[in-house]
Amino acid sequence: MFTSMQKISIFWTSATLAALLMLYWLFPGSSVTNFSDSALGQETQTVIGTYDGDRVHCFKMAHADECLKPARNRNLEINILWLGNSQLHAINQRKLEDLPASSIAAAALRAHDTDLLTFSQPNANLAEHWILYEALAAINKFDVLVLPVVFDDMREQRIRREISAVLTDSIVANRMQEYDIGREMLQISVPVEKDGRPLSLQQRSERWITAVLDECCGWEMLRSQARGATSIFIYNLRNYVFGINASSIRRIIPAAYNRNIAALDVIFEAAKHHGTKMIIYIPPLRPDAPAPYDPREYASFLVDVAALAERHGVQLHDFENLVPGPLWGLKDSTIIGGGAELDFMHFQGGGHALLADRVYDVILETINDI
Amino acid sequence: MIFNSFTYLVFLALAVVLYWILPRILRLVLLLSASVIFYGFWNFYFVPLLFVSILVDYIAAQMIYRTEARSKRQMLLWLSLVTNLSLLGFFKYYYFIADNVIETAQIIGYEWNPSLMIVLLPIGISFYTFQSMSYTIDVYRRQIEPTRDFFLFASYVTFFPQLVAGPILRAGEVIWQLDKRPAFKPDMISYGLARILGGLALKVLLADNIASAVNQGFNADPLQLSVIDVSTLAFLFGFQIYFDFAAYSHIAIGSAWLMGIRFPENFNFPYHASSPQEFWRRWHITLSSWIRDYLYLPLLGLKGGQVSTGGIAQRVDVSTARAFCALFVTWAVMGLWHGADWTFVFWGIWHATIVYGHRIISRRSWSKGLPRSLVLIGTVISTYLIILGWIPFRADGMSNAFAMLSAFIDSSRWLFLGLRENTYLIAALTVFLIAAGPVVWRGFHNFYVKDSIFAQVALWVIIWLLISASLIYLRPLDQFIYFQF
Repeated sequence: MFTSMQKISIFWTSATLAALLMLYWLFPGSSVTNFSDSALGQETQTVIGTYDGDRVHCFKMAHADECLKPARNRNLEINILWLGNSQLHAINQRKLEDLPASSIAAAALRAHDTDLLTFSQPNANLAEHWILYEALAAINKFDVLVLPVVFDDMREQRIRREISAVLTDSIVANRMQEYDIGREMLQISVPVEKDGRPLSLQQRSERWITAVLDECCGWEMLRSQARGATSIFIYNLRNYVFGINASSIRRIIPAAYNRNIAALDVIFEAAKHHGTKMIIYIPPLRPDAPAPYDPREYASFLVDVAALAERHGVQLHDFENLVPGPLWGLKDSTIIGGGAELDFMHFQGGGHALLADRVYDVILETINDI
Repeated sequence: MIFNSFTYLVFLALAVVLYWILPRILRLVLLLSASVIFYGFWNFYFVPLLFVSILVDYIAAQMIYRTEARSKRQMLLWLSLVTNLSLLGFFKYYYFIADNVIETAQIIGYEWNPSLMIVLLPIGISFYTFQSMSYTIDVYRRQIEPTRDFFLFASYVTFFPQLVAGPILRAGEVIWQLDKRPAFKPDMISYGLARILGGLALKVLLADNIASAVNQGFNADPLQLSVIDVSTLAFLFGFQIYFDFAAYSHIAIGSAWLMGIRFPENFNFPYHASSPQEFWRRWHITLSSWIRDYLYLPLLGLKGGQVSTGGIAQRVDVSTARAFCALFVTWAVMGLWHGADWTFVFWGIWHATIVYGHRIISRRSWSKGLPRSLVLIGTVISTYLIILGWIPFRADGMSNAFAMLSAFIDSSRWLFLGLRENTYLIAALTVFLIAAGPVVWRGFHNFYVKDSIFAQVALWVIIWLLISASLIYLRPLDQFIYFQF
């Protein structure tokens, strides 16, 4: 009935069309998922800190101007930078009136002619904090740096693309060159092209094809949705197979831990270099359930951080017991077919208020010396 | 141009359609210009360099063929070899040589800090230089007749599917295919597409996803890694580079098939080899065959062949000093071909040692009657040593390579786990995948050749899933590893 060429054409065309139909059926353009939020779970919501109509909370360096420009216009006497992970921008069981700690503390500090800007990224490690701090300090003078030292994040050592992009800045790169760990990071970070550098023909054609496909069929959004959903499925499948949940013990990874301790050491040095006072704290820990850490490793972590702080003449603030059990919550299961799990990182609005108050107090003590 | 991009898919479709439409002369012009465009998508400035190599070998081959006097033929051959190797040496080894000269000067107390030129490495130079050189050598050995058609010769050297990362083709295998287009068969298109799709899936699903775990591991402080970690990373990188390069070869072979041109295979389940020699009959076959015919056998005083199959393994009398030297020199060159760093030389010497050790053991009389279980243990050990060789190959410098390998002699670094848990999991899953590889491939092939409805439906489902996965993950973010060689 068909010639062999016709058969082959039907075979390949139908398989390609079926693949496309499946993708559009599974990931329709209308249901756009924010995978950063879906990692937090439905119970927890990202809230951008604002005060008086201006952003006081940013995520990426690429969007830093949204925070820095209004701050420059305000031109307050003292400038404070608060770095952290998703604990600073995510509120568990959020009610309408709940604000993140960054907003609350920024509002309270305005009365003291003090500007507080917060930058946070999920699972940010200390090396990333250092790079971000150097990049921000290169364009803005900060009098105080507030930094949580999070045990969970001591397992992280990847430098995400948005942070790597900062390394193309010569001022930041030169600062990195001054330290062993900085040189190491310059070597291993993913090279990111500088804006304005001429693109290769390959890049131009790829962008053109992508733009055409995007315009007609929302192609890149579809693909990124599909990649995100696949990653989450694989993650949940792994947890299901190995019985991993939020309460499972997270062990230290020696190389990552040591690199983060080295990065913390360098952050102290960098703060001295830029004339910035340091406030470091151990973040709140959920008190109503055993922490998902090996107790010996956690104790040794506290000792290491305290020793380092002492060596640099900086006081380590312990907020470990700051947020009581009822102000914590649950998160979506990270296991296929599993129930809700305890959230050990993100607390409710009340917890944010408590954290903001303590940070505010410590900042006031610190700026009184300035 | 990068294979794992939408640009290449559009480019290939246009090239294939025109290839089957145009008459001979225009077809060669098409192939040559398509290859120049393919190369130029990376950097047009290096296209003339490519043609210097082509021109020198074209003229040298013509003159060698027409000349009877041995001394003159030798002189012409040397002219071609020196030109090609000088270009390769300058562009690929400039920094390596300069750094070593400067360091040596410093060691002997002479402070010298010359400012070095900025030299970019032309992509694929190691591949096309070797390919072009093999042509002149084959003509010199009177194994082939040179073609008078410059377009044909230039098309052979630059043919875009193999231009930047092989397979390294011999003129005798390919030129006649470019000269006379085969009769069109629909199966060529189907088989070519299947190979391309298989290659894309290997690259975007496996190689690129393993890469992040590998990079993270190799970027860690090497002294914080245990024997388990170093072994895991060796396995992971061994799998990554295999998937990556096999993917490239599949796409190259598939692209050529779309034009009815057959390339030799470059991989044959290398990790299923039962000995180091067999590994090199299965891994990067066209390079190891090239090294065998143009370096190893001539060093032994033997005549090289003219086919890019069979790999490097050649049984020779290991008792002679010449054989020993030939083996180690060959492997040092093999290492240097891969990259301008002592880590690659170390990797080459590592393999030479394994091959030599295996030869010694396998020739002992007691090794003949060993029980199967002991032979199996021997195979596992030699495979592990081959895989461990990837540590210097991938490590960032000799000091890092030694720091990683030092875990084996430091008892405090034998047993702890220093990597993310997922790294071990990915390694375990990949070992399973590698073990199941031949079965999966045979299954795919059986479906492919069978004409039953069930086989056709099963094949359709496999193709459908692979297309879906490739559409989702196809991103030209990660270049193929072998592009840097």
